[in-house]
Amino acid sequence: MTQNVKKKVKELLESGKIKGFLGLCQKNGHIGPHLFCDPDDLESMVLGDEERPGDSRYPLNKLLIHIARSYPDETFGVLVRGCDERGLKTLYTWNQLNPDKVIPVGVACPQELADACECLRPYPEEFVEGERAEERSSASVTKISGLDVKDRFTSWMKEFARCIKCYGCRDICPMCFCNECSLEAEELIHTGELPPEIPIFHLVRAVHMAGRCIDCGLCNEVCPADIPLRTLYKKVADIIDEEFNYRPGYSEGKSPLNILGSAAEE
Amino acid sequence: MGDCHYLYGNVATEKRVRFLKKLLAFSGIEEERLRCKWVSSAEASEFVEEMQDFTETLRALGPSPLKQAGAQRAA
Ligand code: SF4
Ligand code: SF4
Repeated sequence: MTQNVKKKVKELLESGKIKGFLGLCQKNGHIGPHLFCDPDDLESMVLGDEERPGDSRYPLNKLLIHIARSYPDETFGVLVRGCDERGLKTLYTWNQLNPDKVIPVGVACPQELADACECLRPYPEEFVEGERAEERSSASVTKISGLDVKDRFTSWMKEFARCIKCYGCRDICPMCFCNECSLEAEELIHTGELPPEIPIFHLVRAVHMAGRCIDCGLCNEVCPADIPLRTLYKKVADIIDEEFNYRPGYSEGKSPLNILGSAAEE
Repeated sequence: MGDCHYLYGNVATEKRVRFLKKLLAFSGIEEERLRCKWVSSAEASEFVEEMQDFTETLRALGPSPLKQAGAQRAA
């Protein structure tokens, strides 16, 4: 399955177009992120499909931010699925990565993963591996929207009540790059105290994902309490689309809520 | 709009409120609990009217679900 990706990466490394390729490798039975720098050492490269498609995904573009900061003059390649490409695009608009220094190598997600993710676009613009799966709309959002307002509250509170405030959802999120985080601002959230303030903790995070969340679902996957965070952020993205005709990673340009960008200009 | 002491403050606020109302509704908090109106410091009677109207709305809605959730947490 990885043959085409390996071939492409080998070419890029040999031609000197990239300094390294940030992808996934399998070692000692585990899959993890890896920076491949030697064109003759790509044996361990995998796409993150261990038992089920895409069950070993990582926020590679988030890691790339850190690598790029340490080597600002170098160009790096990075493995992208549809969501990762949306992430890159959005990170460019927030000046977290320089598009001239990033070469994405795309893989399309299998239908099984597209279904599980309710993904609106389970493939990047260009891909060397996989086939274009069908897009899926969000049944989970429709389901909650169908409840009356009281039941919506009860159902979210039931979910949020399981939160152990591990901050995993924030830490894995490729769109969480702020130096100061509102989820640690004393006026809003009492850090180091359990149980967490619900629903405030989750709604604060949801608000901050407006104009940012590219629907990769990593938060949902990492959450030890299985809280359907992605459903909440899918709705956030729907609202921004309805109100401002903007969907991060799909639309061009900056978020309508970016104070330094369009809000100031309009 | 845009004619704000805090530069683009009201432009940003208007956008955020539009978004927040819908997010509140999805989260199960009545969106009528959030209201945004522009009143200048010279328009005292408009302000009073608005506040009276808002108070009526909130009274009709009853206690906020957040308050009940807080009470349960404390118990
Ligand atoms: S789906 Fe979750 S992890 Fe991915 S961008 Fe949105 S909030 Fe961040
Ligand atoms: S990952 Fe889940 S349990 Fe951890 S803070 Fe986020 S919502 Fe709470």
